[in-house]
Amino acid sequence: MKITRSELKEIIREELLKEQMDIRSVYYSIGDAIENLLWVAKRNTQYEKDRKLKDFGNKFLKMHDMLQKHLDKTYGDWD
Amino acid sequence: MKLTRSKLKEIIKEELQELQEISHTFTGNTKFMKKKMLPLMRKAGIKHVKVRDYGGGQMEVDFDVDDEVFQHLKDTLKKSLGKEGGYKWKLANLNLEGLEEELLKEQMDIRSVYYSIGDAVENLIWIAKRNTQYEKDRKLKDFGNKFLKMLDVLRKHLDKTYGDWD
Repeated sequence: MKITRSELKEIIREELLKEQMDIRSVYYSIGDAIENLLWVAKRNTQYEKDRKLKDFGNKFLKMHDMLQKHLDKTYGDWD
Repeated sequence: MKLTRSKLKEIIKEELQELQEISHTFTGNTKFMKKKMLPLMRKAGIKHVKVRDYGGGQMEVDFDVDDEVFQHLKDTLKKSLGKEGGYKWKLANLNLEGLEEELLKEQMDIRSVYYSIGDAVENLIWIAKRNTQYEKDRKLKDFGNKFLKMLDVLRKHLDKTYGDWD
């Protein structure tokens, strides 16, 4: 199989990123994404009157909190 | 393409270095940025910079460096301007991380937010299923699946309320 330099670079980058991915970074990336959802639901003029969107944001937050509690309980030094 | 062992090592080293680099932004008065910041950055060995002029005398400089170089640059700045956020910094209207973040937030739409949650949840599921440390943790998989279900419901709401959101 022939492989170009850029393809090889991409494969290496993907593998390295996967290796670097840990539960902490995943937890915080979910948190950032939820915060953005809440920001859009509360501050974006197009969506600020949509109560359901805010509810979704809050539900995601609750789930995120539950995930944190589970991680704290199961893996003490995860963070 | 024939790859020698040393070439492969070089490629991996380059990629590792790029992964360690983080994007940083400086914002400040155009005159100050041109006369002071850019020469300072050149001295610190930062060659690739993106410059944006937002008008109104404000200019933004983006660059990717690792923590060590960034810290060195900050120290050099502190030497010539005093501590961060002080009188001289205010005079130069200089911010370390600048307008870009605010502008990005303004441009943030529901589509990008939805997909960023999706990506993050996918990563959680990947870890729960494939990472040796967590693959036996059923609860973690459950969390991933619950997040996915919630995303589905959110999608249905968006489809119903804002037909052209995606």
